[in-house]
Amino acid sequence: MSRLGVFVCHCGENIGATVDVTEVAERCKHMSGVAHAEDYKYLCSNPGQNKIKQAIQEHQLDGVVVAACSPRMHEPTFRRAVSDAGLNAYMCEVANLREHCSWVHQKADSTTEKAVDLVRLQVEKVKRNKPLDTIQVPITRSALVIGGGIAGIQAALDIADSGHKVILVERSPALGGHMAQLSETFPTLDCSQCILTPRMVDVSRHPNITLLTYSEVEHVDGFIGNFKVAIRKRARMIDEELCTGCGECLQKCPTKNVIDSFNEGLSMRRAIYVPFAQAVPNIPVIDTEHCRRYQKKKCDRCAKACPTKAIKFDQKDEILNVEVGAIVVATGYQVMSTDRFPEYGYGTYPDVITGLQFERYASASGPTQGVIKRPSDGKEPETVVFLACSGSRDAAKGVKYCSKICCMYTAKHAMLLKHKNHNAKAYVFYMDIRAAGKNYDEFVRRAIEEDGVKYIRGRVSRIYEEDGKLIVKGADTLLGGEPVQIKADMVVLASAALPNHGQGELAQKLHVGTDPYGFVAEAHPKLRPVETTSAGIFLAGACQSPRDIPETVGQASAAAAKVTALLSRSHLAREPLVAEVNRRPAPEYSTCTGCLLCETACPYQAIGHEDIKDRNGNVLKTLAKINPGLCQGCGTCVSLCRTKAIDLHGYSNEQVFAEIMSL
Amino acid sequence: MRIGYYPGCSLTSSAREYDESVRAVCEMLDLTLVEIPDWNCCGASSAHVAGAELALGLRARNLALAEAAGLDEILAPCAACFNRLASASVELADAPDKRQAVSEVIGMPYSGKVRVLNMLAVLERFKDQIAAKTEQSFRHKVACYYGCLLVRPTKVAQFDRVEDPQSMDQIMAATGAKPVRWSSKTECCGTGLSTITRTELVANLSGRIVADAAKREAVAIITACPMCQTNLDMRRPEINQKLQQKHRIPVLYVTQALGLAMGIDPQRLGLQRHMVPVELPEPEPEVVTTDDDDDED
Amino acid sequence: MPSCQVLRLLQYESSENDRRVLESESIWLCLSCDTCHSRCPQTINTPKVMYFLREESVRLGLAHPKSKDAQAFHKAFLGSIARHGRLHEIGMLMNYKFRTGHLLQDMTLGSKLYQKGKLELLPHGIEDKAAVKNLFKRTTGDKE
Repeated sequence: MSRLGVFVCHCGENIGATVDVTEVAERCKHMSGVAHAEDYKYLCSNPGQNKIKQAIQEHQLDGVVVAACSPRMHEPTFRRAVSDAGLNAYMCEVANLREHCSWVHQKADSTTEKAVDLVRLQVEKVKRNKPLDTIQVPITRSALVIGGGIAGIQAALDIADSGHKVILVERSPALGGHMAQLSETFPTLDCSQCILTPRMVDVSRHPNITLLTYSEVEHVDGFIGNFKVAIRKRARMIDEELCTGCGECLQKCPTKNVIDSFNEGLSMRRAIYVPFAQAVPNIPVIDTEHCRRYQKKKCDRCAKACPTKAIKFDQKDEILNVEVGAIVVATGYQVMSTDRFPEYGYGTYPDVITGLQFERYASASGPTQGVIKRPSDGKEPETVVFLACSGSRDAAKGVKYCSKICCMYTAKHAMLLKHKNHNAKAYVFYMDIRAAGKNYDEFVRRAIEEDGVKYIRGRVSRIYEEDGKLIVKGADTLLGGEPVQIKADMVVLASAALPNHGQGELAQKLHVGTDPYGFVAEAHPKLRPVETTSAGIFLAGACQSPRDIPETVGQASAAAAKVTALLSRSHLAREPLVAEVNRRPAPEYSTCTGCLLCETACPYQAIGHEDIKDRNGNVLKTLAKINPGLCQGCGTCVSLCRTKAIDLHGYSNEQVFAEIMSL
Repeated sequence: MRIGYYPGCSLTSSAREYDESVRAVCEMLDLTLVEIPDWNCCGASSAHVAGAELALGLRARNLALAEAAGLDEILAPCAACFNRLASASVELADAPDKRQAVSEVIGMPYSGKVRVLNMLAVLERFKDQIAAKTEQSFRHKVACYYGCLLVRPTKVAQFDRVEDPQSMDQIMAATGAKPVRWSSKTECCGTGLSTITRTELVANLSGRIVADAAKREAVAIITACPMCQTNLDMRRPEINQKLQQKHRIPVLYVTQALGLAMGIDPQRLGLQRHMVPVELPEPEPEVVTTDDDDDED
Repeated sequence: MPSCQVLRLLQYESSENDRRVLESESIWLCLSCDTCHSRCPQTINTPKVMYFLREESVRLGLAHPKSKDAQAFHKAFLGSIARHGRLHEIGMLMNYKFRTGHLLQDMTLGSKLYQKGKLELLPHGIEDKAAVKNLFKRTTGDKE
């Protein structure tokens, strides 16, 4: 016969105002197996916890039910208290009287009755609880960072600086991401590449960082502390050891008309190329889609030009298998392309460009060496209209969310235009100005007041071409919706920031959740912002939602701190609430028939199989085997098992049935 | 092939030439038009003033009549009728409760299955035949003008590029015409109501469209909407007065233009009914390019 | 008052602002071209809103004096279809001009149209006129 203790919490007014807590405690005293019951104002407080500890000793309790708030809140608190008093921590259960009862019902006798029922369920459960021990899992003390933009760079540097090995994987041929494309950064107007380049060099020189550019994550297996990752290192057709980065090969390439994606399509590059002058690593890539040699035409001009014979036309992709303890996702974003805007010409007007394209024009390393020109005829535009919220906050044709960075970069763009061409006119159409951040609103005011940028509150309903000008038709809602028409030379769309291409596939490989827009989901929006829904996988930067550089860097350092905290231990303690395949004496061994339906159903790849063998090594029976390090205790296998061979510790069939039967 | 036909009120009078040319062209394309027996007015924009129920009822009666006649697709050449009937068809398609209510109002059952098509959607299916039946290549610069009711509401009309629709351009191109790229394709002409109550507004709105087409050197504006045709053609004196111009660019129904290309007698196409005389210049000379496979007679 | 202000006033859900809207000329200006609806980021069906407001404004007797012509047009239009099931343009126009007093407007145009065969002097009614009459009766409570 059990000797259980029941402790009912008032939670101040939270429970006490609607549930007759004293009555609940009184009724519990008469439940079978209950040796002690009492109520208290705040059980989570130190005196409250001491009451539990004292009662355990005084009444020689062998199990505890705490009737209080959600177990998500204080289950660890009470389990620790129980453990301090000498009981196994898992002999304590929480009945949720707050979220499941007092918060959702009016004060009434029936409310108190429901509270009693909720406690009774847990009493029946605890009677069948078994002591459990936490699972110790060894940790591989190195990390993988996916994405070589500023988020990935910062996270990799921080982890490496704390003494752990880091593998940094970047899909494109060079580090830097979108930050390398930017001209000057708000709100200080310092040059983006100037502050980024030293960081990129730090990465390439760091003894703890292995940099894999032009590489992608192919496959991920394993679990927190023990990930096995296959990385595809795509063939650049260059021997990275031999290449000195002299650039001789680049000059000789006869293919000169490949669209340059680093310049957002505003210029052409060759088939062998380095994305930009300061690229890290400074090693070219042969674009086999456009290189003549791979189009059945003979050409080896680059190879002939190479003084170190580094060009290897027959190089093949390599698959690298690595083991890491933690992963940081830092895959960034992309911007909505101009062809997504029907009323702005579906991308058919060359002088309607995206903000990222404007950045390339404004950048000293861009296609025009920092002179703002327009794509159609290369003339310097006199009148430029900037459209904030292009696709953002547009449930009908774009995305519902605010892309967050556009208000600031639009102010910066207008400002840069005025700085570079004092006679230019800049108009900004906006819905609201969202400039929350250190020195941000001041920056926008500066654009308006000092640089004379004309801000018009309203949307643009149509852009069309007439006599070589773009006619921008909008409304000024501060003038009561008066129509406004501007003849512009160029229009810049602050187009919405979207999850990067390939983000969905990567999330599937990693088994991390995504939000409805496709961004990587955080484990908790407030309290766990840099953790994903999968343990041991963290996130940083715009892969979570659009964000600016300071926020990205802060988040990357936070993710790195989480990673180093994890890697600072040799072993990892995990909750023992995992599924297990039952075992029986020979010759049955288990009720499991080895059908392995559970293996395919397990969302965490935690189920494999094991063979029961005799002394001679003959296989007697094959059983499913659950890896406790991987199992997340979801219970899918339990409900699927046709022979009831699997049970979940802490939530066994017996316990759940007993709970239901008690009602 | 046969299809249900809903001419609508204006095609029986002020837009008679649209009806005439639709029938003539469909005959050439071997498309049999089965007029919905005893169809009634769609209610246009007026029915709503007396309530949404009346408006839906007037439209639903036509759909129910079509269904009773065994027609699952109906052609409504008038853009306004199309807009109203198609909206009602979509509104009723997935709403059994509304269908029940409207059935009681019209005193007829309706199962929600009738699809309403506009003139362009039907002609699109015959693009190859149009090219094949073209007798005298229509090598003119034309401004394809869709107007608003034909392409909206977006969900109902289902044009792939709402703000820059292509189907009429492609249909006209099948006859050898050269559609101009212009920006007024879906601008509003002022619609039917204001053509009578607010003429000055029409002159203003329609004026912009005529001026834009003229500027792009189009020799004809092609339309598939009686109200657009009326405003751009019948209100031309007011437009020219407003613009201080003498624009003589004719406004043809798409079926009239196709009919001319197919060699149908202009009288049968009702060209004599236009206010702005339809006088097209000599077709542009054929530009011979390397991959041009246009067969000239 | 532009349509954004019409909607803004309605968002207050106050009877004074509702009245301002219903008494305004704005709600009678919409041509139902649906351009706003197709470009609205919130997919607001403004024409439908305007239809409803016109209906309400007439029902409550608040319609703007300048809506007289439009109302007369709609009444003439509806009268024509209630009687014949289809629109009889001349009859409708005569009715409209009689209601508004714009007797001389478009006189020359009318005769031109007639010459071009674009106007029918006699109405072409539908056969089942009772069906349409009943439809009007059921939905509008016996008007016209």
